[in-house]
Amino acid sequence: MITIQNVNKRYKETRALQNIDLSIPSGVCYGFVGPNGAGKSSLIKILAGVVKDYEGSIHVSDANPPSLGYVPQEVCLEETLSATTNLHFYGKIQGLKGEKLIRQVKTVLDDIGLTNRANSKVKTFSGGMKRRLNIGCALMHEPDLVIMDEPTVGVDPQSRLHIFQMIRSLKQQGKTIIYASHYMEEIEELCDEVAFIDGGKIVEQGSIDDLLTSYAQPAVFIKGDIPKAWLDFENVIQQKDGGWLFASSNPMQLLGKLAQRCEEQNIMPSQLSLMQPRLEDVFFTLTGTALRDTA
Amino acid sequence: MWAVANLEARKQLQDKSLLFWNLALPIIFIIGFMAIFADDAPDQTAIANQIITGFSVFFAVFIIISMVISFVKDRENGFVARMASTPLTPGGYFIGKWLPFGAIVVGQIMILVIMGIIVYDMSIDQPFFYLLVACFVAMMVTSWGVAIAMFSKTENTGLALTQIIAFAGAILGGLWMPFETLPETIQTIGTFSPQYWAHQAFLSTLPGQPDGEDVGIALLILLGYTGVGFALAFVGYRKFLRESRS
Ligand SMILES: Nc1ncnc2c1ncn2[C@@H]1O[C@H](COP(=O)(O)OP(=O)(O)O)[C@@H](O)[C@H]1O
Ligand SMILES: [Mg+2]
Repeated sequence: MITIQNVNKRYKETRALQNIDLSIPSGVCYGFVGPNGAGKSSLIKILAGVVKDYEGSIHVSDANPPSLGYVPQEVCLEETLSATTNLHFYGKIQGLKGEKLIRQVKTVLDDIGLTNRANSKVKTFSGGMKRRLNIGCALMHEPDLVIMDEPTVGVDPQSRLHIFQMIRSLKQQGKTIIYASHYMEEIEELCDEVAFIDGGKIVEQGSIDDLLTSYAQPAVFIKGDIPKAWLDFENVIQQKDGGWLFASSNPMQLLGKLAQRCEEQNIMPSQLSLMQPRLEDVFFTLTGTALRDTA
Repeated sequence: MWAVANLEARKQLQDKSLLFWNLALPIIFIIGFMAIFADDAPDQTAIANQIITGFSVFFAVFIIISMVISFVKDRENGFVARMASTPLTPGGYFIGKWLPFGAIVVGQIMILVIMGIIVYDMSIDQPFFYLLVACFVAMMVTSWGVAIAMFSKTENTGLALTQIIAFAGAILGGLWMPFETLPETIQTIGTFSPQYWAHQAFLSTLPGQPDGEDVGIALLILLGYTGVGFALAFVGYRKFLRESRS
């Protein structure tokens, strides 16, 4: 368990983090999500031991302090050297030697899917390949705690899928993962728990399932040539993609009602569907009301 | 530390700009100068002594460019920050970075003198002392390399400073022409330049150079300049780390 207590960080005039309190249980995949400039990287760098001048405290309450693998937001590799040389270096500074080191380089190359480019210079790699190697460097010593800062920015879909598979496999091995991203859907797909960060503050935190039930309602989406009068009979949340979104605590019933009306009035909507609540809706609810108003 | 040294050595040895500035260019200059000044001179070897040692010192300074580029890159691309999340200590990082550059300068000086021996019949009385002087010169220029890197906002700062140091030292220290032929005021100023002492130290290991200063004093003075370089580096390294990690 990592306990973050009352952490504050400022850069000259900017208050990057304000009174951050968080508990991150061992063995979970914990997401930090928020827009650019929210303070995610600042918090990640503090947790990774990179930034040391901050106020507040961070406790790790495991018997042994976990070994740490940090994947920085910027790709940080020796471009003129090969993937193997890069991995080799990170293994060595983590204390790996000899047979073990060579074996581990092979294993990680395989995990990140770069075995067939092992000896090519990094500067010949695509953005996605560099990102994968960037992650691989942090995994050489098989850390218990993996901290990743926006590991999928600017990657191709295949690489993103590959990275997701790597993270799932880390989860299966029981590692603790801290994952920062401004892509809501990534956090939703990968993480168990999440902290919403906006303007340097934690807006809300908790398990994703709990947050979805407490902050977002299921909804029904209808798109087509529907009469304006219908918009009164249930509360319309928002107009979206040229259609209408109706929130409801009983979406199946609403869906049935809408379908029935369409049939009665001989209207054929181009889309009529159930919308499960998304993390994005939670964030919208939270920051759209509480935060933006006070800011 | 050794992991960093190994990585840096691999990176530098395949860097074409380093090979150009520190190896190709001095060889071209030596061949050119020898062709101009020594072709019909009575004592070719004496001129080779002067030119090879002079250019060895002059071009040793250019390692500072590669050092500044390397450190500034590490700071800008997040490498230094990333290292802070690993067991590598700042001391291990700096020594690991520094060692290969020192070794490269020693190698550079030795290649040039071997070329002098093979091509221009140079002879060295005390090869061991020549190597020792090379090590002292390497320590001195690389200590200044680290110092300048700590305070350089960009690579260009390093480039400009290196050129000022290299050319000022070359002119004042008599690297390009025998020191005695310089005007007296320049000679006086020149004795304050580290390059003058480096050059004198090399000359004193060669035969038939009665005007070479005592090698012991020269080495002490080089050590003093090395001390100043490392002291400046020490003053700057916290700032460097802080800027790297924010
Ligand atoms: N080195 C720095 N110097 C000054 N301000 C910074 C620095 N790093 C981050 N900031 C500021 O701190 C705030 C949070 O940044 P950051 O933690 O990078 O956010 P995120 O990772 O969520 O995009 C931003 O306003 C950013 O401009
Ligand atoms: Mg960030």
